[in-house]
Amino acid sequence: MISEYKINKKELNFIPNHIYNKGYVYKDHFIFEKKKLNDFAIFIGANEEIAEKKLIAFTNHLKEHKPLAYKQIQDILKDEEKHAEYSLRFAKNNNSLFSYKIKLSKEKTLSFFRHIYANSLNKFSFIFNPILITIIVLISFVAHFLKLKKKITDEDVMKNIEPNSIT
Amino acid sequence: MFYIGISAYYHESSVFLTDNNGTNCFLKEESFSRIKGDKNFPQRCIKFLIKKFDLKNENIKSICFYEKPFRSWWEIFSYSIKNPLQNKDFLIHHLKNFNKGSIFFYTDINKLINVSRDKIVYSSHHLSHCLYGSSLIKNISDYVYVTCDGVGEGETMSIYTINDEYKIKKIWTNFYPNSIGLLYSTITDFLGFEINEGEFKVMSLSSFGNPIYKNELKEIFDINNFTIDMDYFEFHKNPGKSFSKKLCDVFGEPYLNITEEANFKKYANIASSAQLILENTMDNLIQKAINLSGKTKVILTGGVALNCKMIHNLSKKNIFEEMIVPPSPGDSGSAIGATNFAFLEQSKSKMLDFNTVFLGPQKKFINKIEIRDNFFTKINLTSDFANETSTKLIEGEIIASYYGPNEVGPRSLGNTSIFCDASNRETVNKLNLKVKKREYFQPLAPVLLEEDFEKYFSINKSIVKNLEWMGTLCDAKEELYDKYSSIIHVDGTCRTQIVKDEHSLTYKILKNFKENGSDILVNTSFNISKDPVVFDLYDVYVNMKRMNINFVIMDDGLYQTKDI
Repeated sequence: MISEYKINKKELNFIPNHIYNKGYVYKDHFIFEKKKLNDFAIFIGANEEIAEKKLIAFTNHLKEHKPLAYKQIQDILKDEEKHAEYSLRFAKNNNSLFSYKIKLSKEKTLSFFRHIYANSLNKFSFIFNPILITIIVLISFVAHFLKLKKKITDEDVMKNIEPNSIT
Repeated sequence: MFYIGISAYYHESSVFLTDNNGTNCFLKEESFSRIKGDKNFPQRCIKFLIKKFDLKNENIKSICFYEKPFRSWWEIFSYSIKNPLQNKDFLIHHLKNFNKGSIFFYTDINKLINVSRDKIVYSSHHLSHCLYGSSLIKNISDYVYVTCDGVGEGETMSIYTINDEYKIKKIWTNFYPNSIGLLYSTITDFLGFEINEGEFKVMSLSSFGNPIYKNELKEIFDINNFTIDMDYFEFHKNPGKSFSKKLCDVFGEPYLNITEEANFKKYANIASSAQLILENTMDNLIQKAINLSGKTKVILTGGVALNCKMIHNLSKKNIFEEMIVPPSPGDSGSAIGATNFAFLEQSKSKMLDFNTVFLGPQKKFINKIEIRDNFFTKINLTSDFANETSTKLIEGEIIASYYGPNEVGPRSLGNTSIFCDASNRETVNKLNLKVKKREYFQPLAPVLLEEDFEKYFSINKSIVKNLEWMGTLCDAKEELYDKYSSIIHVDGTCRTQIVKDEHSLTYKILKNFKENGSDILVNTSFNISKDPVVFDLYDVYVNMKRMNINFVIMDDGLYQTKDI
């Protein structure tokens, strides 16, 4: 993709921290650390299935204009399909049918809401940004007076520093 | 009683624990989370320490964060808020992230361990850098301590001195946004590399170009007064963009594909110009430090000091008697500086000093022996496994190393490395491009015994100490070109490491290697490009399988991976 479409590598960088903000993963632990193996398998199965559907919709846009990218994504789709299949097969074998169905629909519902939340972040900004701008303008007045001491020199750093202070 | 230093939230998070009685443990969060440069609160490191050292309020003397959290947040904010509407995107982002930064450090710590509030102390950003530098040397009053980084608590350059009574004096400071570090990072971004990760690629790229844009860059950054023209930048306005359209008017289109020759040449020229401006600025800064302090020995810290090409070129100007750049001069190493601050703050008249760069945990401290036996088979037939390893290296094998304590800093110094014979061009190329998947313009680094250094390399005596941790470049002599040309960079330099410690396994391997007919090994970090260096035996196994490396040398022998 880099050579065919002259995409700079920068554009392909994946920054894991960004997905914390959107609520897909948790900052303070890995998902597999908190979930039991059966629940984790259902989580993976349900979400890989959803990811597969989303990728199919995405590749339909690429099919005609970017055939190489389309082909590469088809390979990724095969992986997604396998992950979903294996995880769900494991979960099916290790849960009663009723419990499996309940857990699967719970994961799909949660994922649905996560997507709604992630897709709505811009809309939230539309509502909250004017409030934040007002706060910022107010702070700008306060900031004029609140000037932390900036020292170009300090004769005795250890004596003048307050160790327990965050300022 | 333990002193703990923590550096987190902005660059790669790290923790350092010491009892000042021989127990030291330096850890990076990326080792546990496997996210390269992980900057989140280092909870996994702390959990590891709690488990291993049974940490509780009673056996903790002090926990020190490496900077003042509110000051750090406020100083950047207060610059942008001068024009609130123009910089609103940045300010909104900064305000929204108020609770995600270090302000809630105490809360984050207390989620893991209940420590009384009076045991939590906060150092100052550049002071932590300075105190890390001081922990490496004996005669602290002989040196002037210079720190230069992107920004820390609103400071971009600082000069300190310390006298024999441990009185620390700050003799000069420069403030945000006048930062040569941020200029270099902006160029890194412009060239399509990731900020905080790609600066070393810009440094390597600079050797392929000519500094034809130096005058344009001198307009942007005044190298004599250390001031910056903010019209060329956007980092104070927009959290997702570092440069403005005005910079594009000077250099043309950003983010071009450098696999095309014309783009490569142009970007190499930009990188070369940025490198020259950086070196000229640092030259002036160090001269200022020497003039103000009256001392000619310099300890240089801060992220900018990671630029080993700059250290090498500065040494040729003969402006200082000695320059030491610690092995981890960036924020990660500041965890050690913060610990030193906590120690000095308690003792008033003592500082920590370490005579080793291997402050990480021993491999046997990290792993259980059963895990090793599940994944690896011991293959050496005699007790002289260093010799067997050397023989395999001579035969053209690529061998990983995983022994002794971990290194501090971004460079693997033998204990978590990948070695191959530097005289075998084919193996070196395979290691660089296929195994490590590095950029073709990044050379691999050589390692050799101290006694052989002068046979192949030359260096100004003032920076020779830094060779112990690959902290500088040196020049290749003619003798090196005959047999080891594959490790020489296009500008005739090498980022060489010398090994002095006769008790280390790396020394023994090199000694045997020499007896088998070759003097120099290639030493590269034990990871695939963009992944963190291996930490435990699971990482070792997975990385070896991914890189198709069959052999690893450990503390007690040579091992081969099992097929599971």
